[in-house]
Amino acid sequence: MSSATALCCTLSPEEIEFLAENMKIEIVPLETMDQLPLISCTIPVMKPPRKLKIPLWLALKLKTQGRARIVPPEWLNVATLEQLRNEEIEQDAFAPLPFHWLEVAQMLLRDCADDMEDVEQIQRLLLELREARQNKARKGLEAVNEVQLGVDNLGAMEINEIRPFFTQIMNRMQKVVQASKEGE
Amino acid sequence: MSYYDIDSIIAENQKIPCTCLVSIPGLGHEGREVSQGSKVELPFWLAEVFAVNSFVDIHMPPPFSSVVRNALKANPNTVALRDTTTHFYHFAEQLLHVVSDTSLAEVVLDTLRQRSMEIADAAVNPQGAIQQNNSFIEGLDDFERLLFRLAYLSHRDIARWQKQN
Repeated sequence: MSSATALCCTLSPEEIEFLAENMKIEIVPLETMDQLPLISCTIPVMKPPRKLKIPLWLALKLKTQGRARIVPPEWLNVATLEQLRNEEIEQDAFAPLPFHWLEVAQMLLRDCADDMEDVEQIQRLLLELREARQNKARKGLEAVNEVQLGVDNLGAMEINEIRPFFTQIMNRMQKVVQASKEGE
Repeated sequence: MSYYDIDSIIAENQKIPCTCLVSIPGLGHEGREVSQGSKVELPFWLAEVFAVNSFVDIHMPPPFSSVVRNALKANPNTVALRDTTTHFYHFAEQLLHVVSDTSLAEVVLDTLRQRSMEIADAAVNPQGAIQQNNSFIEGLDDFERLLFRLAYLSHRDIARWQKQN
């Protein structure tokens, strides 16, 4: 099968990142800015040092322009990530990470590392979380059936990663089960 | 089972042993008649139509013989599926439309489940997998090759996206 068929099955990581950028995040503006009436939402007036929540794509833009500082989301710190990582290792189920955790964490670490503390430790914890979850997803293959798949607490990027593989397997299984039911 | 699907066409072309229940003209060598009771190997698309009309009795084809089934039950990862047929799962599905055999369905599903784990592992590092586990990779049938490719592409895309930062 050509890669065109593979492309139809799933989104690219860049597209998932684009979808994640719609999340709201808190910033501390460094300059005043007028209200911005956009199609999707209206950005309120910005008066430093009052914090406000704006979409991530705009927050990153302002940050790279030096006009705002980002407040990291409440799950992106060493303490919470350590607790989540311990939960991930101890339990069979996936720990409750935000839906876009992988993309948001990557974008913030890329652009706003100076607004966060213990960046290296955070990076290490994120890697450990990712590996633990990948192992669990791979083990989930043991239980795959043609009817359903439990993806509770799985992130958008992670679901996207397993989507083509699992859907092909499940489709094939569905056809075999269907055929055997008809043949009877 | 769509008419123009290449995988369907190839899968349905598998030969399957049959016993004629009646004499069938034109089926034999150079158009001769095949007498009742004789054994022939027909492509599945023909055997299916004949079997539905009770012209032939179909027998289990080699890919699903008890030898292969026992090997698959014992350890699916060591069986070279491609040696039995290139479209194992597709053929199984089509055979199950005509034949009632729940144990075959179970074997096929279990095989797929277990082999897909190996495929997912191998896809993360295809070069290494080919060096270490060559017989498994070569023994993948067409559907499993597609799975291999899909797993590899997803993994490669995410790794690339993570590296660009």
